Amino acid sequence: MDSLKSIAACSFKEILRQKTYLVVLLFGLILLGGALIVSVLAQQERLRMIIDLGLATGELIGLVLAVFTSVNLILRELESRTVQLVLAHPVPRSHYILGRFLGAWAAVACAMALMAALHLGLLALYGWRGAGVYVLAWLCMLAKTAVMAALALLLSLTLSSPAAAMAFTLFLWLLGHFTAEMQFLAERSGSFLIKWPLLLAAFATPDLARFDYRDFWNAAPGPDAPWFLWLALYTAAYVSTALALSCQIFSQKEV
Amino acid sequence: MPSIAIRLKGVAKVYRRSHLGRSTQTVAVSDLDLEVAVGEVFGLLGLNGSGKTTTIKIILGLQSATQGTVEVLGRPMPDLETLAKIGYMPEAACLNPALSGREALRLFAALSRIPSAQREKRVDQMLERVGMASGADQRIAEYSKGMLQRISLAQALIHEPELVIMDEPVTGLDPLAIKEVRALVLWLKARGKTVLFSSHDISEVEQVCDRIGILSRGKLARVMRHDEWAGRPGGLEDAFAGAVARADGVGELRLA
Repeated sequence: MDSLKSIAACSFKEILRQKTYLVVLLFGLILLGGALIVSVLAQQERLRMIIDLGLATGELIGLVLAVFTSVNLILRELESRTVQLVLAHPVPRSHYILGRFLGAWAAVACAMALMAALHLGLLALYGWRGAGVYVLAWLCMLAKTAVMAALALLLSLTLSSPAAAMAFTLFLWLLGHFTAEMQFLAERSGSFLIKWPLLLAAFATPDLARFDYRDFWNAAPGPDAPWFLWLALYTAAYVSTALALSCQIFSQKEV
Repeated sequence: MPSIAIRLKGVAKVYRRSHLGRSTQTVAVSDLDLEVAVGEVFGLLGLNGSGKTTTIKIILGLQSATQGTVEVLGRPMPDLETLAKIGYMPEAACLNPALSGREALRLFAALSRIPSAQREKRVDQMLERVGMASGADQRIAEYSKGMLQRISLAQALIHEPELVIMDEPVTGLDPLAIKEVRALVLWLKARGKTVLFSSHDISEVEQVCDRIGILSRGKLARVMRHDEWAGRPGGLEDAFAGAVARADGVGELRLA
């Protein structure tokens, strides 16, 4: 476990020091500030607009950081051969993968926490006090980035190309918001050849719409405790499966 | 305690690649039988592409042999317990440029299973020993080649390994650094450590090795003891020239 912790800590530091990470984070913070200006357009619903734009920015920046860091997490190490030196030590390959993933995800979580703090500060200026649901919305977004990061890591190891892995991950992110529609289409389809591939794709693709707590926290009645429990289990299962597959692929890789 | 530190039996490594339906295969190493005794300094000599690095990677378990068996310190590889007793210094330093020298050493100390209570002290000792105490907090990205090599050396020795494997340790170094590497190998030998290093620098190998193995086109063409070349004019150089054949598709210079 010592090796896993050390790899995670070093990966975390490494990512925090990357220029891309800092630039994307800075861009996110600027966008949050920009939400104040854009919200002027909706005087009646200004607060609502700041909330929506801020949360959407948080998710977008979190997604970009998660996908970009995860896709390069192992491939860059393979290319620079840094991985050789690490694996020449008594480190199980699974610890290496898990450590790298946890370090990267912690860095993404840090960026999202910073954005949330700034956003909450802006909302406080307008007298908004909705901390409970707000924190839950960010936690759901964080869970979504974990799923996407695990998926990006798996795809990067499968495809061995950062560009291809990034493109596929973004495609799955898009598709992941329409799994319910895919299932609906499959049920409606009369053809066996369309129904089963569609159903298979709907089940394999992460159900990302499930994580959009921000879209319905105002609904009455709002999501209850079993909803959150189900979401936590779903995230844990999806992330664990993607990481287990990544470990399996990496254990076969020659470095 | 085994008397043989490294034992390779019938080792072969074939790289198979397939792209757009076209398959190619390259034999990197074949029929490799090699034994390195405990406490011995063994040099692996060969031209570029002769299979030196592949052999080292197979010994470390970074790559799997297509055929044959590999035993290190009495245990079949890959084996994490054995890796804890090996220090590896790659040709290029391969260190994470985002970390400082001290942070990198802390990481490798943890990976080498040094107890956390002793880690900081050991890191400081190693930084002092390799002459990097003053530059330890600089980012690795800012290091010169000499500094990189020192940190690479420190990570290989921080856990006091029984076996030290160095891949082309003198390539690209200035004469002073080469002299230091030579002194290091002799220092390790004096402490009873087993050293395996690869090189194509004959003059270095002949000065420090007890035995050498000449690799040519992935095969072990010849193994020589120190007394077979020591004191003989052109000894090792002639033996090397006679044993190797170019494998990289480059022809001879025609100077007539």
